[in-house]
Amino acid sequence: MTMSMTKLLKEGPKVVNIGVEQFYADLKTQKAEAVSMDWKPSAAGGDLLARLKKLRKGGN
Amino acid sequence: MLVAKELLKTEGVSVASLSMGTEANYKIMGSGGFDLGGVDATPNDLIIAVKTDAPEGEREALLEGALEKAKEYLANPPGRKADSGGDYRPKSLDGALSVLPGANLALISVAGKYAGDVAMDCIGKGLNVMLYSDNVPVEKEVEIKKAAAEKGLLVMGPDCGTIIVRGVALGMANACPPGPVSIVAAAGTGLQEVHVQLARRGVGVLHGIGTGGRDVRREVGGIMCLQAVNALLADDEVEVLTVLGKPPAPEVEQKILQTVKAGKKPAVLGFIGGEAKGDSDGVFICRELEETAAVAAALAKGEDGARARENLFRDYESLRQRAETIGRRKGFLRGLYSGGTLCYEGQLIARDILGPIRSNTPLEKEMKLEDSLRSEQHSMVDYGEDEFTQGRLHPMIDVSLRAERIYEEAKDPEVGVILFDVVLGYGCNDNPAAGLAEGIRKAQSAAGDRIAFVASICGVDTDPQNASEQRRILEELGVHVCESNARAARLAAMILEG
Amino acid sequence: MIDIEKANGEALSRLLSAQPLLVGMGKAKDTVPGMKDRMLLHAGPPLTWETASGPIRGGVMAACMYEGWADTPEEAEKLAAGGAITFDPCHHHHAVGPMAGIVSPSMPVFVLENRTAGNTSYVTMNEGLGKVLRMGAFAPEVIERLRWMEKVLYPVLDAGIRLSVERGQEVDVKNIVAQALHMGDELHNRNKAGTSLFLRAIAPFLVETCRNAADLAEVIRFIDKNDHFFLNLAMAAGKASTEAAHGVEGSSLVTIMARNGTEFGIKVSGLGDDWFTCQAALPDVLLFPGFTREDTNRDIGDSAIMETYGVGGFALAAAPAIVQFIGGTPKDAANYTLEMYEITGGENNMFTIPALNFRGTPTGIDILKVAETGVTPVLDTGAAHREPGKGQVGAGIVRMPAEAFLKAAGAFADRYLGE
Repeated sequence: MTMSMTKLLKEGPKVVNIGVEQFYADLKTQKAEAVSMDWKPSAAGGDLLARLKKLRKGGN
Repeated sequence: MLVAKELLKTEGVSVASLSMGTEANYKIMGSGGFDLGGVDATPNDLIIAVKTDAPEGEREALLEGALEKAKEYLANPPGRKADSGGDYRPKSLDGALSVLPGANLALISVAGKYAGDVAMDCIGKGLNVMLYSDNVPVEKEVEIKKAAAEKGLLVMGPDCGTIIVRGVALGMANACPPGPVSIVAAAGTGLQEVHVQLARRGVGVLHGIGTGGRDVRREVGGIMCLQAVNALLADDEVEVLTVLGKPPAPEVEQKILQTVKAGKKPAVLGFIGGEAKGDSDGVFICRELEETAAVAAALAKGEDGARARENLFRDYESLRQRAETIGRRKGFLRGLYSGGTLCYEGQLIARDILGPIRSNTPLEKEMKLEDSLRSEQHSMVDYGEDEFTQGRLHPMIDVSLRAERIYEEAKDPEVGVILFDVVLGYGCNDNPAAGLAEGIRKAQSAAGDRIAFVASICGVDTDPQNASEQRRILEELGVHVCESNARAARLAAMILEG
Repeated sequence: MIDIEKANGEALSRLLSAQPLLVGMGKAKDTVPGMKDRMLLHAGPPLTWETASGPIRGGVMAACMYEGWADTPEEAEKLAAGGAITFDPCHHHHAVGPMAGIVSPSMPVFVLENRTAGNTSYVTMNEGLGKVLRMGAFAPEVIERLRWMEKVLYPVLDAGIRLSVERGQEVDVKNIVAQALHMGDELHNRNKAGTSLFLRAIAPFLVETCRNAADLAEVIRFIDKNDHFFLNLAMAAGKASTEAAHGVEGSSLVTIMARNGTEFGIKVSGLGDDWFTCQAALPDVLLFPGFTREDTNRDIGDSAIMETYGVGGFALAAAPAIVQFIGGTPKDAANYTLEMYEITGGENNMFTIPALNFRGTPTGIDILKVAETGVTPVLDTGAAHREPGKGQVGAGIVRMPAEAFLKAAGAFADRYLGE
């Protein structure tokens, strides 16, 4: 059960940065593995998004 | 076309076109208004065409000039940027995971109203989460942490700005070497201060796991704190465990104590300003940050934790001499902090010496400042609080507000000491001392020698800002720099004591 | 509850396994299903004369004069406005048309057949650059050229194509697309390699069947001078392939993206015959000298079928020259393509990009992914002047508007959530 958390502590951080670009830059400076998302709030309103999530869950 | 764009910037040129002399381009330039009747170019020739409204006499010169410029630009294309990496930034989480399939942590710092859902998505994909964002509703926090706990994943935050994993700094954290101590902290600058104080004693930190300030309160119940504590107790790379923060809710504190005691690893609990006392069974209980670090460092070196604490407090006593040397001042203490836990600790220490301290984050409700911008008597202000950070950068990144406040405080004839912290590390301002120095200089012109300036630097030389460099800048101005926040708060209070 | 992933897998596989071959030619009235007298097909979703943009109107006027329904542009305009002409999307007749995309009864069309599933598609011959019908021009030279195409270009090509079919050596259009991608084409704005490869493939058959050396020379010169000649064939190949993927229950895969200069419209595999439309984008592209953004008409053309097919703007990483043209770097080109992987169902099995280690192009746009990520398809296209008769004003990169995709996603949820 604690495997996933332990994996992080044993492997070191491999980061998906979502937000402030500086954090990504600092990780690269420390030679950590990272990727930075170009995150934007979804164009679909909260309502549509919720329905789409339902669709995904139901089908797959 | 880029060269044409540049030519358009020349005065007198209304239209510019550069094209190879192909049949198609003849047609295009023709419809653009150029009469190429007399021009006999082949597809391998470049036609430079310029239209101008300039009067007859100036046209020749203009044409010559445009031709020259065009040739120049063609030799050195304007606006050609070096293909400088431009790492691809995925637009979706799936996209990010296809670029970094081994990802194990999401660092989320988007606006609070979106952050919770983003965190849920990340947990759904099996990622641990560092939730830097604040303004996440507590119900959302509980939902996220429950979902994560079910999958054995960590959620650090909301409002968690400092994390260390295998010595790598995430968010605002310092560049110290890894080592035998690991920390669980419900406090960002608390973590930073202990991290730095350990490094000063030659002891490294492998993991510093933040839980966010709300985790140890009743509503959340310390879910993540306990999960992290358990993970670190079970981790054979961790020799000494430290748990930090403001005192948790009583039932949470109990759980932590029990868990740690059963863990059979030397541990130090630093509940800042807490009531709990009494070390037992290799579990030490401290009330201050440097104290926590000193005890943990001793344990890591196989030395006597209690002895280390005694030595530390004896050291503090010698600050009295330093206060004498600096010279007593009259009046009030004004503390201007960027670190919340440091401000809290500062109040605890100063209160013991000077009596009640007012603050925007006071130790007691009655001591709350009516207006955070207006100090009263002894005051300590946390610039990291909401009223200062709405739509503004965090004070560890933007020091200008505090610099200005230093000057403001100095104009008050009843102020005797100004105390402040300088927090270094990744994610922080690249030269906070210089930024604050501006305010200090203005303050010194206004107040002369009336005010003593006391500061602590939470940082090390390997930080991007270089702690020694920062120290030099401040000392050149006559600021009295101390080795820790605990010492700085004590010194500041002692200068005004009696 | 429908299994979307499975449905999309099925739809994508039908798209990828399509094998469009050039099997013949014919006049639109004899060949294109549903083509009638006084009917004009056009690019994009349905429109009326009132809502039609400048380039469409110009193209309609040119077509009317070409057909002899009117002698002057003014007469043509009156005719069209008066309701004497039926307008219908090319897409309703298994056809596609670039820019204004006007197809009139007398125009010759190529016929492509998807050997795998048996469906066919149709497209006219590309007129070339400059003052052309598809850009809304209607000057006498436009009509003259169309007549030459009908009287000379068509019979010469037709005879050659017949022979190739007889011999069982039909031109494999998909194969040419795949090769052209490795030669610097992206098959929307850059078709030079495709055109060269096509000419190479058909030339022997033209030589064998054409009795008139002068005509043959004119035909070959015409194709040689038109770097976009192959675009129309590529579009028809795309049409034949994407149409084969349409009609899979539960699939959120886009089978049509098209613009008519006023509106942008899409169709989705699992959503039947419904068009989902919104206002077409206003291109912000690199302009030819003398033109400004105010002159630009909204996005127009069925050529968006190329991106629906997995090339064009989705294969920009294969054509860095195009991106440089508008001031970007090869990395920018690659980044556009990388972005498209985030909204597509899979990678193409035959169209690959050397610069990305021969990774298959992003193929199979998924409306659900577009709705979730906010990323919309990026197209690489020409822009027309908003006034009829003025032709092309520029070219570059245009983003499709999100609204049509969001509408479709909502309809998909309505249909498949059963609430």
